[in-house]
Amino acid sequence: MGKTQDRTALLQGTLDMLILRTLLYGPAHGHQIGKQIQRTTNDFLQMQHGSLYPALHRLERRGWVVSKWEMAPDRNREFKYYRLTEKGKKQLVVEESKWKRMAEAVARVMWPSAEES
Amino acid sequence: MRWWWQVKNDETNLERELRSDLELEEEEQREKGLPLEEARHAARRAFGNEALIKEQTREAWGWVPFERLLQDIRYSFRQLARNPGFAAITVFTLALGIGSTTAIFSIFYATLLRPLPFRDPGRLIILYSSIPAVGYVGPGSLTDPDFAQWQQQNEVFDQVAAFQGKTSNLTGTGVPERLVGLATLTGGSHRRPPGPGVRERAKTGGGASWPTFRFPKAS
Repeated sequence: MGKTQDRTALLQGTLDMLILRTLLYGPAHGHQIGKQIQRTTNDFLQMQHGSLYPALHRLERRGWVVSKWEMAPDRNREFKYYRLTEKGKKQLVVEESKWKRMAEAVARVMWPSAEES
Repeated sequence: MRWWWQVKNDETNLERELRSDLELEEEEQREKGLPLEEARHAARRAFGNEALIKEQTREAWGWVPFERLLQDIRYSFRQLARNPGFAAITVFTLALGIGSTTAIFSIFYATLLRPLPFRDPGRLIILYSSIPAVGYVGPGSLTDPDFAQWQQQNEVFDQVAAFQGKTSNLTGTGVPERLVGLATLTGGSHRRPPGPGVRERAKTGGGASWPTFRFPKAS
């Protein structure tokens, strides 16, 4: 339980950013997005991928992504594909710079000598 | 009604989306060589708590507060239907409360809030004489000569008039009636007579300004 909480706490502010970044590669459905994040982080961010959906729907509501049921190219089946909008791309830049500043601030506190040397 | 369709539609859509994700996961687990039952369980584990996810997703739609309100209303009606006695007492209490509040406010409004039936009622002023020498400072009565002087020396008010509480009997061919009201007196031929008492005045709805009193000039 403790482990899951660590992960969700970490993800809380960054999940939106991760989803937007993943969609930069092109449209994807929920399952793909989840797997993609999981794979790229070597399973470190191995969330239960169902927890993506509230975030996906929230992003859609804000107009950062749009969704559409489409036939998958590799199999005869429809999936709900999410696509990044222009607004979403702008938002990604905002979130990214926010995250960078945050990471830098934390780094400065954690490893002060590294800055000075 | 359109709103309801929208929600139903979103609901089916979400169901379908989550289902397709679960099925995909299940297929992947089976490709790893797990038997059907186990693959299904593994998929569910990897997916997470489906009910919770649905709930959180609905939350993202923004309907939730409204839905909860509807649920609460439905629930309260069910509860009232289940306990008719309680419902009756509740309705009675509410009726009593609303009724008495209305009644009290009506009185409050009539006596304190309702503006006097004159133009610019805020500019009405009551003048009175007092006799500090004997310790009397309250509203006192006025002699005719005093009143005449106040009127003559008036420079700041539109009009000056006197009034007096009056109770009298009205008799005629019908049943006699007791009249309670204010009698107004006025002098000064160049001034408009103030007309009948306050209540009658309200009915006739005259637009002219009401006479006012003023303090006598210090001389």
